[in-house]
Amino acid sequence: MIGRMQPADSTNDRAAGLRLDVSAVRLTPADRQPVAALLEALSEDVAPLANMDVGQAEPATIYRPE
Amino acid sequence: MPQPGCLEIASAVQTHQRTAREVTDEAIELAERLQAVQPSFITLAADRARRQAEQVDRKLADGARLPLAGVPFAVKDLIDVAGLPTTCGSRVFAKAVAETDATVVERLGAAGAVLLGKLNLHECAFGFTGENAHYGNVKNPWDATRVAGGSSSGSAAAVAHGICPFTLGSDTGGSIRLPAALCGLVGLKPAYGRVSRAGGVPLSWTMDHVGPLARTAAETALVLSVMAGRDEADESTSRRAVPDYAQRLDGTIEGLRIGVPRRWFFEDLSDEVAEAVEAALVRLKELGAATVDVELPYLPEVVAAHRAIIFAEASSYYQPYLGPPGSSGGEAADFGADIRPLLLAGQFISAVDYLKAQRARRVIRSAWTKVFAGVDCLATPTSPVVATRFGQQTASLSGKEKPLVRAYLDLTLPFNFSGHPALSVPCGFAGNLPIGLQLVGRPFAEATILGVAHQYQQATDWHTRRPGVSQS
Repeated sequence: MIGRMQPADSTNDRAAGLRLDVSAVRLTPADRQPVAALLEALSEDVAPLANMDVGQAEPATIYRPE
Repeated sequence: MPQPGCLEIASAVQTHQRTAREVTDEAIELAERLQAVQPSFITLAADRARRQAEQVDRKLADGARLPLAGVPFAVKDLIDVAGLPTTCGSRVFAKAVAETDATVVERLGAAGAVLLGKLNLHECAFGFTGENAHYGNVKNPWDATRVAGGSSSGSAAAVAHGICPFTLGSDTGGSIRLPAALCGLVGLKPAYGRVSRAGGVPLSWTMDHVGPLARTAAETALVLSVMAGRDEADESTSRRAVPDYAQRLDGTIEGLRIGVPRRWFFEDLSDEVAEAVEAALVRLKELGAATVDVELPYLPEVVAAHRAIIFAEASSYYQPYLGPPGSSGGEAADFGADIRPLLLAGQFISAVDYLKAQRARRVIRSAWTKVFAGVDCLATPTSPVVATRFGQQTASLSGKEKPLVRAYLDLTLPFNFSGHPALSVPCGFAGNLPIGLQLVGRPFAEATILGVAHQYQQATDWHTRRPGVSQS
């Protein structure tokens, strides 16, 4: 669901589900581990969205309910 | 001594029993005294407040009618006040002085309210405890070893300590309702589109809301009446007419249908919270309301979509400040170590996933409309636990350790995603720690939930209890 990253490098590991080349995102070495850990946790939380059928719904553009 | 509320202060100032300047001086004195032990404020604007109070006194002498005459208030420091920095609780923006007032600040000032300053928050509003590496951790007024809740931590503390009777916060996943619940206050997240965010710094602009915290629903209603309504500077605001919320508080709740979504919202609660909320439901039935079990579908999907949206939108907004040291926009290192990964992580969420979350929003909102068709409002716990200790990462619920981000926000964030109005009202204590009841209204039906909260407060005394001022 979320682009995964290798904590220590910026390789694009598509087999692990990477959708984004992390070299495009400027991370300092110090940020790589905490961001990787956060993405791991986020992947779990976001997973139910992957299996949701949204049919032909267009994205909400007015965010208030009426 | 009972601390006067908005209604008492405004009445006393309007009838010249007190001057706005006297009220302001007292509020500043208390704020300055408490600031040494409790960092509620980031900027205390004493001179500005005194000048504004004197203007209020002059206007009243000239015959002006000011519904919030002389009522001191303060705003979360992501809401602009001309001439003062808007730090967002971050060192990155420590010198970002606003040129104009946010619309809500302008409207409250025009109604006679007196701004004391800018309140502490969880950095960038991206957190739920109120811990802040730059401006100090806001402590829970009821127990200084515990968090006040966030992100509107200073907004809750200032009211709970009696510095001012209302404050403004913002709420993207529960950031008004959660600190209100943990500090024993009423906190209202209005419907999306009801209150202007112009002049407020976004975290996630499709889910951000600005709203008041106060001791009572009656005060909240008065403040909302002043703040709400269409603002050309915020195109998300609705053109719907704004009711006089205060006038509509006294209607009976006899026959009102309150939906109780037991799945999800009542599954993993601490014993004390479960007991207090069940007792509140009984009290509401005694007041004439009927409770009806309902089910809100898609809640795991709501959490998922909320995550995809909030991280993507936050990273998008803060991207200019996320470069590595030495590069253009290389302020990233100045964000707190707890916040920087959050701001960076959204860059890994694809546009496809973000858009799926926004598409899901339409599907889920449509399904929830059917649920709300059968009830006038919902009642749930605001938080499954009372205020936790500083540094605590999990809460033990139903025999499992649950990450606090899930424990604290799973019950509130659904209504940021849907945009329904929701508030927290005090409904009990676990020891000396407050517990909150969440009421959720139909679209733009703030009057209904304020009315229920008001009737409940008329029949209970939880909101009359006060924390001590000792802060170790």
